Order: sequence, then C-alpha cells, then structure tokens
Amino acid sequence: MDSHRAERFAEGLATPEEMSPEERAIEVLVKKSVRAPARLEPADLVPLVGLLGTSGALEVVAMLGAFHFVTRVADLVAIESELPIVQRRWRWLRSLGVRLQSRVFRRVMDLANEAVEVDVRMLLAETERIRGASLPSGYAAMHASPNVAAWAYRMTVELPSLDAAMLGRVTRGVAAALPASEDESTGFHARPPEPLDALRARDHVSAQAGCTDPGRRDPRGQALSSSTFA
Amino acid sequence: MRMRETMGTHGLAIAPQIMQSFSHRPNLLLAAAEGYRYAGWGGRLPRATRELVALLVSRENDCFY
Repeated sequence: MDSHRAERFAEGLATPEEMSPEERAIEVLVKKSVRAPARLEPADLVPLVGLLGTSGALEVVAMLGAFHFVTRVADLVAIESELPIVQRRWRWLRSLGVRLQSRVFRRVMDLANEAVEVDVRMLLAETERIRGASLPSGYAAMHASPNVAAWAYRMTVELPSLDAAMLGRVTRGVAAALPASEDESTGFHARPPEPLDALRARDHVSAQAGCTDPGRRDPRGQALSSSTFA
Repeated sequence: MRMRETMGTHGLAIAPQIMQSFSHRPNLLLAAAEGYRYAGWGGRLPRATRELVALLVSRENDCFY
C-alpha cells in the first residue's frame, strides 16, 4: 500500500469504491469492535472467512486484538511517538514524520512473515489447563493458524502472575462498560489523574473501555478529541 | 535483554516506549513482545493487510501513538 493510500485510510477518507472487498470487510469489523464491541459475535467474521479463509480471518482478529491492547495502553499512560518530528498538532509535519518513519522502518526492519511451528493441540490443552475451564468450541479453529494459537497461549500463560482479584475486577468492569452502540462509545468518564487508578476503581476501568472518550486529555491537560488530528 | 533480542530479530534495535511501559513486570513485557511477534509476523496474511488492521484500529480509537 502506498503512503498516499495509507493516509487516506488513516484520515477516514477512503471510500468503499476504492477499497478492495477485503479492506471493506476489515474496516466494518474494526469499526464494530470500537463502536459496539458488546455486540460482536461470530457472524461478524463470516465475510472475512469467505474472503481470507479461516486462518486469514483469525490473523486479522489477532492483529485487531493486539492493537486494541496497544492503543489502550498507549492512551492510558500517554505514550508519545518515538520520533519528535511526529507532532500531534501540525498535520503536515505529522504526515511528513510518519512517511519518514515508515521509510526508515522499511529499511531497517525485516517485515517478511515468519513461520511459527508449534504444537497447537498442546498449546490449546495447556491454555485450557491454565484457564481452569473448557475452551469455547471456536478455539478449535486455531489449528488453521498456529501463530494465533501461540499468541493466545503467550498471553494466557502470564495470567497466573497477576493478582486474581484485580484481574477479575478489571475483567468485569471492562465487560460491563463495553459500548453496545455508537452513542455509547463516546462520553465515557474522564481519564483518571493517576493511570494506575484505572486498575483500582470500577469507574476508571469503565473509562478505559472506550478510547473515544471526548473527556480525554493529553499530558499538558489539553482536550484530546478527533478534531485535534484534523 | 530478551525483549531487545525479540525486537532485534526484525532489525529493530530499539525498545519502543510502548514496550518499555511494561518494564516493571518483565514477564508481561516479554509476553507482550513475543505475542506481538506472533500476531504481527507469524502466519500468511500479507504485511499490508496487517498494517491496515493496525492503522484502522488506531484511527477508530483516536490513538495518536
């Protein structure tokens, strides 16, 4: 994908007509995962399975999950870009910075896919043992995507190292706060003054379930809304 | 050290700040780095498709990073 096209996607300017069927299906899934995650269901994956196969659809889900995780953490602790030139306020400078960054990364990083050779049956059995409950039947599809099974296992294996009460409180708080509609995906509580409070109080957990909260502030206390990026 | 090695296998000689944020819990940091490898580099999905998913999630979450 060239930088001009990527920028159109980033700015939300890409029209359905200029997208491939795969790109349209991915955008629909991503939008629902942000605006109405409480209503996500297996049927939402059917178009992607038809276009990319079971393994491709699972890999999209893994990327989707990984980046929801990354964006929530980045937002919660206010992580800024590694490159000073990628400024938040000046759109033209940000665009230049992102292009430069992508050129550098393309040269220094190996972006080729790598084979993941794992025993999926063993990973799923171990995941089930750690969770202490039978895995939902959908996990069987991971036999088609060893890398997704490895990703899920790698996340699961660390769960016992976390405080069970805190984990339960966060899980319940997030589940209860997941938006079921576009209206509900905005207007969450303000960001807690201390990031770690998000793990202590249910209201603050709720705030982090929706990242489009118009009450968010940057480190200088400035309002952080979509207009900031326009 | 292992996280740097994990990122370094793809030519990235730095530890991104998002990964450094886990440094108080080294095991979680390692899990995040290795998990990202599996999700971001494993499998057969084309690189552009993976990046599109990441870009759209960031856009929809209004996340600058």
